[in-house]
Amino acid sequence: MSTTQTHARKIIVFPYWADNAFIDIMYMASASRGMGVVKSYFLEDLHQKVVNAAAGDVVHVHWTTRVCQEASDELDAASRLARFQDTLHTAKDGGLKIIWTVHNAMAHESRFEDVETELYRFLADIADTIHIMNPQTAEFVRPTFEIPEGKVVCLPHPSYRGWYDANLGRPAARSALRLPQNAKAVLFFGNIKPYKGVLDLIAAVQCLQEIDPSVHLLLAGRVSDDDRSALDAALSTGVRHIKELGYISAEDTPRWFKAADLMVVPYRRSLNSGSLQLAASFDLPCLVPNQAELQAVYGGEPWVDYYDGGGAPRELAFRMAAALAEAPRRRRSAYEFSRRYPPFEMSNDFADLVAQL
Amino acid sequence: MTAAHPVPAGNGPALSIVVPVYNVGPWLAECLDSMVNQSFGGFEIIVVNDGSTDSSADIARSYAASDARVKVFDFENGGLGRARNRGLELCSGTYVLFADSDDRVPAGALQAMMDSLTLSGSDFVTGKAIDFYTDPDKFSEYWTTVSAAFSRSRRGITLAGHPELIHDHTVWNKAYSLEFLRKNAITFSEDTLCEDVFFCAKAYTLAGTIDIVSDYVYEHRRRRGAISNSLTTLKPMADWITETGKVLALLREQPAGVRDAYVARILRVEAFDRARWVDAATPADVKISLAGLVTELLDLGSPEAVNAVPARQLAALKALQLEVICAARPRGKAPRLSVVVPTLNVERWIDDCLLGIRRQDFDDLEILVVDDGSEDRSIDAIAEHVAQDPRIHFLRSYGAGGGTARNVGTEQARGVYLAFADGDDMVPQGAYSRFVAQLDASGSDMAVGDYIQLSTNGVWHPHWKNRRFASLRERITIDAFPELLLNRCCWDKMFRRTFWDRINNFFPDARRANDIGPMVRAYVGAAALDVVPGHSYVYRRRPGSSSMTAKATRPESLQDYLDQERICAELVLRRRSQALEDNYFAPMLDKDLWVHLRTFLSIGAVKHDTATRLVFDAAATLLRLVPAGGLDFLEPRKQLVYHLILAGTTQPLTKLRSQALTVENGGIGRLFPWREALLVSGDENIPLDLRRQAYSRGVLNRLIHEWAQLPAGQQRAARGRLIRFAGANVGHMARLNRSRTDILRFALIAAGHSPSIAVAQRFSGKGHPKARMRQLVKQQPVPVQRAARAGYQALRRLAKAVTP
Repeated sequence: MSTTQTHARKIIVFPYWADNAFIDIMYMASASRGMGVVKSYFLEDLHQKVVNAAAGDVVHVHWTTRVCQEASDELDAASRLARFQDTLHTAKDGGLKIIWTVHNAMAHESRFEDVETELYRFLADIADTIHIMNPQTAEFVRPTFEIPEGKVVCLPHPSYRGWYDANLGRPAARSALRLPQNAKAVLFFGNIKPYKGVLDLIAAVQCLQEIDPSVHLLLAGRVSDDDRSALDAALSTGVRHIKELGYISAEDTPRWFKAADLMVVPYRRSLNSGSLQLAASFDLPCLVPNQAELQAVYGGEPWVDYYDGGGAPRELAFRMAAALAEAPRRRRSAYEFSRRYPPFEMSNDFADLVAQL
Repeated sequence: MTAAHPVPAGNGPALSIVVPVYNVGPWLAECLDSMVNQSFGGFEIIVVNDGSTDSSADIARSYAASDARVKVFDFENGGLGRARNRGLELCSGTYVLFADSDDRVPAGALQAMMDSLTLSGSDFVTGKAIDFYTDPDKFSEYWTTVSAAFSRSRRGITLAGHPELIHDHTVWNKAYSLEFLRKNAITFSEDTLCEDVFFCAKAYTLAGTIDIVSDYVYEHRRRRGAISNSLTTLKPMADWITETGKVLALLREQPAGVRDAYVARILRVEAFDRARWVDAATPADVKISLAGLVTELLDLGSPEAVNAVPARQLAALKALQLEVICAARPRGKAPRLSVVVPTLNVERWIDDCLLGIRRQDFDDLEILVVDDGSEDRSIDAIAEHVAQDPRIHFLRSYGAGGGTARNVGTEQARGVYLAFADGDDMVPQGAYSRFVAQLDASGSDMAVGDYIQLSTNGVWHPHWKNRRFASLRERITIDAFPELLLNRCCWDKMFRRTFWDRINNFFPDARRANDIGPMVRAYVGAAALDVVPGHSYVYRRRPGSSSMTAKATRPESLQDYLDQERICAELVLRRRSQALEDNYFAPMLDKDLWVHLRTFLSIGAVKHDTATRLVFDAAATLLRLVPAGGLDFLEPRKQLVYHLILAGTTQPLTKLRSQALTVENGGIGRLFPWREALLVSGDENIPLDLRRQAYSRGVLNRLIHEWAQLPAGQQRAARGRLIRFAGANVGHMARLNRSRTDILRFALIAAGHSPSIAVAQRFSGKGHPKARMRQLVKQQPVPVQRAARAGYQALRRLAKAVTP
C-alpha cells in the first residue's frame, strides 16, 4: 500500500532575508516537520504568493521596512501600506493564518511616522498570533500601538550557539585581523547606522586610548553611503581601529568575535538585541546602554554590563575600561547564557506554535 | 669510613635521621657516606632494616661499627611507612629527618637546615631538592620545590601565606621538630605506597611556622623499580586515592587559598594523569573511588579554581564522574526505543541534539550518550541533561572511535527498537513516533526515513530523496527498492533490536564511513523493511567543515573508507541480485568512490610513498570486485584512473593535474603531464582505447603545440612516433575525438615539411567541417597542399598496428 503526502503547510516569510541566521534558525524545525518555507523578498511578490497559498498556510511578517520605508514619499508610503493591507486581507479571506514577529518598537529610521504607526496598528489587529521576544514588548510599544494580550506568544530570541564556526582560536583570529595579540579589543558588529550610537563609541574609544594605548576598536558591518562620510570623519581623528565595512559573511563572522575582548552595543533604541545573543554564542561579554528594553532580557546577567547612555564619551570610556578588566572572568557566564535557549529549541517552539494555529 | 664527628654530649643529638632500608645494596653506601661526612655532626642515623634480603644490613652494620652515630635496627618487612614509624619511635633527637636509602644528602644541607631551625624555632624546615639519574651529568629540579616560595630562604612563614607549599608532599627534604610530630600524632600511613602524602599535608596544616632553605638539601635518585615510577597501576592508584582523600578532609578547615592551590594542581595533573588511564577494563571499584575523589576535589575548590583547570583535563575528570554516577543510577523499566548518541567534542551542538530528542512526542525511550573522549565542555552539558532527564544514560568508549562508541551504546540498549543520532545533529519532532508506529504495524525489521541538511546557508532537502521517500512502502525487501543502497547513513533509520542482533551487526572503528558497512548489511539482511515518508533527521553540516574534509584526505582515512566500501561490495555480491549490483556499483564508482579518490588525488601533495600505495592497494581490492564490464559506462577519465589502479600503474596518479581532475566531465587529455601520459599509454594492462586517448591527447597534443621548440633530434623521434600513432589509429580518429584539423596537422607533421608545420600550428584549436577543411588546404601554397596530401598518404602507408 502506498500513500501520497497530503498538502504540507506552507509558511510565507515576508520579508525573507537570505543569509540571515535568525531566519534560517526560525524555520529549520518547521522544515524538518515537512512544512514548506516560501520566500517573499518584496512587497510586490507577496501578494502573488498569498494568492497561490492554501487555507491553513501561514503568512509570517517580520521586519516592516519593506512595506513603507522604501517608499519615495508619503503618498507612496500610504499606497504601499494599502497594498500590504489588501494582501493580508486576501490572506485572511483565503483561510491563511498571520503571525507577526515584533522585531522593533518602531522602524529605527522611520520615515513617514504616521503611516508606519498605522502599519503597526494594522498588524496588531489582523495578526492571529503576535510573536514577541522581549517579555515586556507590550509596554515598550504602547506609545505607538497596543498588542492584544490574547494574541501574544513570547519565544525569546535564540542563541546562535553552534551556528558559526568556533574552531578558530583567538591567536589565529587576531592574526587574521592583524590585531596585536596583547591588545584589548572592543568590538562593534552589525549595521552601522547613526541610531546605533557608533559615533559615540568611537569617541569613547579614542578617549580610552589616551589612558590605555593597547585598546583597539574593531568595527565590522555595513554602512550606507549616506552614513559613510560621518563615519570616516569620526575615524579620521586618529582612533586606533581595524574595520571591515560591508557585509560580513558567516565564514568571516567568527574571527571578529574570537579576536575581541568585549562587545559594545551602543544602540540608542533597541527592543531585541540579537547582537548580544551572537556575542554570548562566542562567550563574549558585552557593554550596553542602561535601557529598560535590554534590562528586560539581559538584566542580572553577569556577562552584560551597563552604562548610562547619552553621557560624555569619557564616561563610556571608563565603563569600557572596567568592563575590559572584568571580561575574562565573565566569559563563562556568557557561555552559560547562550546554552539556555539554543537554536533548535527555539525553532521547535516556533514550529509548535505554527502547528497549533 | 672514618668517624668524622663524635656523638655530642648531652641528652641526645640535635637531629635524628631515619633511614629505612630494604634491599638497596647498590646505593646504601653512597647514601650513608653523604650523611656521615656532613659538616654538621650532631646527629644520629637510625637505620631501620625492613627485612632486607641482600647485603643492605651488612653494609649498614659496617657503618655502625665505625661510626657510633649510626645505629641499625632489624625488623620484619613491613613497608616504608611502617619502617619510618618504627624509626620515629626510636628517635632521640630534637629534630628528625627522613632520608631514603638510595638517595643522597648534599654537603652542608644539614647545617643549613639546623641553622634555620635554631634561629626560628619553627616546627619544621623544608628545602629544595633535585632528581639525579644514572647519567652523572643529568639532573633536574624536583617539581615540588620550584615554586616562588623557594626562591629565597624564609623563616617563620605559614601555609596560609604561601598556599603553594601544600604541594611540597615529600618528607625527605625536611627536618621536623620531633615534639611537634609527637604532640600532633603525625605519623606515616602504613601498608600504602603513598605513605608520606598525608604526613606532609598534616604537618603543613598543623605547623605554627615553617622555614624554607632556598638551597638544595636533598638529592632524589630516579631509577627503574622505584616506587615513584609506577603511579598508574592499580595498587598505586588505589593508595593515592585513599591518601589524597585524607588530605582533602584536612584541607576543609584551611583557607580558600590553600584549598584552591591544592585542588587546581591535583585536578590538572595528578587526578587527570590517573583518570586518563581509566578504560573499559578498569575495575568498577577503582573508577568509583577515583570519581569520588574527583567529586570531593570539585566540591572543595572554588568555581574560579575549578574553571581555571584546562578544559581537556576537566572534561576527562567529569566524564569519569558522570560515568560512575550513571552506573549507579537505576535505569528503570526497559523502554520501547533506545537512541544511541555518540559524542566527541560537540559542546556547541549537544543541547540542540538532546533537547530535540527529549521533547519527542514519543517518550517511551532511553537516550544512551556515549562519549568518546571529549576534551571540551560537552560533558558539562551532558551532565546537566542527565540530571534533568532520567531517560538519559551516560557511557564512555574511552577514545576507541566512533564505531566502538555506537557499539557500546548498542550493547547497553534495552529497547525493542534501536535508533542512532550524532551529537551534533537534530531529530525532528514526530520522527520517532512515526517510525515506531510503522514498525509496530508492519512487523518489519527496519524502517528508513528521509532527512534534511542544515548549514549556515540554510536548509537543503536533497531532491532525489524527495522522490525516493514520497510514498510509504511496507514490508519490501531491498530488491524491490535497490536505490536505497545509496542511503547508507545510520541516523535516518530505526531497527528492530532482535533483527540487529540476528544479523550480528556492528560498527567498525573506521576513521570514515563507519556506518556504510552496517547499513548495507542491514539492507541485505532485512527480511522486510519499510520506507517512511517525512523527515526523520536533520543532518548538520558543521561550520568549519573544511578542516574535516582536509582530515578526510589523509591516506589512513581514505584507506578506511575503501575497506568499508569493499565490505559493502562483498555484501552486495553475496546477495546475487543483478538489480542490487547495478544499483550499487554504478553510483559507487561514478560518485562515492570517485569523489573520495578525486579529493585525495587533487590536494596536490600526494607522494608515492607507502601510505599512498596502501590506499591504491585498497582501491584495487575494491575495484577487483566490480563485475566484468562494470567500468565501461564511466566517462573515460574515471575509467582511466580506475584501470591504472587495477593495473598497479599508480605512480602517474600522483602527478595528476588537479584542475583536470576536478572539472566537470573533464577529458583525459589534460589529466597528466606528457611524460606520465606516455607511461600510461604504454601500459598494456590499460584498455587500448583509453591508452590511445591518453597518448593522443596527452602526448601528441604536446608535440604538436611545442613542435617548433623541439630540437631536431626530438622532432625526428616525435615525427616517427606520431606517424606510427596516426597510422595505427587513422581509422579511430573520430572515436578519439580528433578533429579534421587535427588529422590535417598530423598529416602535415608526418610529411616533415617545415612550412607545413607552421601552417599546422595556425590551424590549432579550430575544428573545421570537411568542406571548410578542403577550402583551407586549397588556400595554402601548392607545396603545403602537396605536403598535406603526401603526409596523409604517408600515414596510411606507414600504418602499423603497434602500440603508440
